[in-house]
Amino acid sequence: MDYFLFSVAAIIAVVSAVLVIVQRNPMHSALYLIITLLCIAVLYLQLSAQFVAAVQVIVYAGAIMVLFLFVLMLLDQENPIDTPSTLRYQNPVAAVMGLLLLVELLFLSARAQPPAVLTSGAPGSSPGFPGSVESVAESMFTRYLFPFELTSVLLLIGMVGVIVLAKRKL
Amino acid sequence: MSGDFGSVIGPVAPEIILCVLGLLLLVAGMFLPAHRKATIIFWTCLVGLGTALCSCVMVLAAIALSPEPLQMPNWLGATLRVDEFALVLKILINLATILTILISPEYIQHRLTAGRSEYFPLVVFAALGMTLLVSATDLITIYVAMELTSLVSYVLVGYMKRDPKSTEAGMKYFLVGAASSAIMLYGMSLTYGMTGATDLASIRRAIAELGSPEPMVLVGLILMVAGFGFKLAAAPFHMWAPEAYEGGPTPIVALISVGPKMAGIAVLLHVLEIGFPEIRDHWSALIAAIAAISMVLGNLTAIPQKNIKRMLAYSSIGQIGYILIGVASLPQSMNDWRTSGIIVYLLVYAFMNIGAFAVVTAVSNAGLSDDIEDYRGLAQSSPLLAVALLVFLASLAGLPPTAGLWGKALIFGAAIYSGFTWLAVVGVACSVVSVFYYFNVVRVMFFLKATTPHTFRNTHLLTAGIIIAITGTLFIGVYPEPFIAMARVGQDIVAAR
Repeated sequence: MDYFLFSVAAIIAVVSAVLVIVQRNPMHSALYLIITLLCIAVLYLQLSAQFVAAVQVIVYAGAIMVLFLFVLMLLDQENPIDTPSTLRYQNPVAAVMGLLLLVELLFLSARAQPPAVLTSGAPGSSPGFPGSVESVAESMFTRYLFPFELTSVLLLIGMVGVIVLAKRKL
Repeated sequence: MSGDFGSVIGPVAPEIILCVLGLLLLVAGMFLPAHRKATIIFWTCLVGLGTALCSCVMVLAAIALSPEPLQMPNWLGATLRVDEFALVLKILINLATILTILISPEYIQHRLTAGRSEYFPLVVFAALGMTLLVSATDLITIYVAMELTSLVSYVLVGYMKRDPKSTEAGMKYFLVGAASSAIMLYGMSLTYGMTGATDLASIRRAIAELGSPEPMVLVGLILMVAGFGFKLAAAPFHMWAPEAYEGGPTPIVALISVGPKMAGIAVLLHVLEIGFPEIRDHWSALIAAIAAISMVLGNLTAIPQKNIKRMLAYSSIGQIGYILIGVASLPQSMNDWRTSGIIVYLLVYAFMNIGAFAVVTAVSNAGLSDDIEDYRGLAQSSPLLAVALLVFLASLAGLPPTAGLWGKALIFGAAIYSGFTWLAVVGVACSVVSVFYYFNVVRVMFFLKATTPHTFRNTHLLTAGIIIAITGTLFIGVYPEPFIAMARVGQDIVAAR
């Protein structure tokens, strides 16, 4: 079951990642990127990194993608400017870097043992496991209670500041 | 945890007062009738800041009088440490904020088209961020408090949204500040990776166990110091300062040229002395280099400036260089010149720099520009302002009988004691150079005739702010002993870690 879930998520992630870069329409690219990010969140969950999975969905697939879409919608979709790309020299560099990354990943995956998490079932239910919801919540509401509460003031200031600066008439 | 209310929130009472005050003012701004709003908010703000100041003094007295060390309540964990050094700096920060509030009302009346009622709460939140910063002893608290301070500063610097210069200044400050936060966070994450801890005491233990200094620990520390350097506007991380100072509202510039520097110095001292004393040799040389570059660059670039706010910006880069000499020096067990030098310098700096900006505020309230050229004949049209600016500039240059002399003397003494004679020599040379550009302004004020006479009608509040600043500058200059003695409380920062 684990293996099946992993394969499905991984295949969808890779396919949509490829679709991100071959799409002509940037809006479609952005939507495929969301699918990739969500599939990676599933992979995190399987590694029992629940907190990272939640952050992946909320911050990356949620907040950051909204910013992407905002920028794309501000650009003129109807009349794309067809200027010749001035960054052609980057192509060979990008190819070399990509190849290096691939070799590195293959090398590491050939050498490394699969993590115990994958072989022995998910221990995510044990509260002490780092990255579990319990351990994150515990340190957030005990050791780091004070800075955590402080962030509420920080967010309030951010809102007040933006409204003061951006609102035409106050 | 004891059930005693006082011991549960006592140590953070100043912060709680500031936080409640800020929220109260924000809400009050929405509901008060328009014609009364400005007055009520201003006086509430002043009284609230005064209360916060008094609570700092009370906590300080409680610590100084009780035989056993202050027990921090459990809920704070290791994220804050309220020691005497931090409390003295909190008093200074509240004082600087009160002076800023005093010089603000007329300026915002003239310059702000919108957001007048949000101005005071934002200033209070800036004070909250800074007071938290001076007692933060955990990397996470340091980061959150620093962001709190910076975020308010970005907004306030760009507050005059009809003025393109202010908007540009706010934008530049924000971009550079965001980048520097990222650099600082990178340093913090490297430190956490190497030591597995975020609170400074545990970081120190982990570094001691590592034995020989790991290169990664050093890289983490250097990146953190670079991040703090941006907030302090120390060279080579100062590029935002001249634009932000020139474009921002002058009372705010007065605050951000003083408050974040106090907070930044406290954070730097806490991080270096509590977290990284094992590698003192390394960071001491690093801070000494930053101090030397700041002094030379700040003082030399100040000479050709035509705009008084830009000149004061470069001069404040030079001033932070002098204070950093103190950070680089060794602590001493007897007659601690270093911490008392730093504290006295920061106290004096608060009076003289805010005082100088108060005069600039008064001059621009009268409709003149910030160009030094416009200060021609100020001695005739407003003798009080001219004499006040003379006192502040003399103090910034470190001339007797003003207070600037004592800060410099103590810090240079500490440098010589620690074997940084060359730094003290650079500092003295830079002070000599600084007399040149400070007294250029004095020459323009006293010896050139004004082209068109101007009348100055300042409110009592602004005059009161200027007079408090003059009194502080001269009184500490003539009778510095009690302040030096008071500043000695800070020396336990090293002993009690």
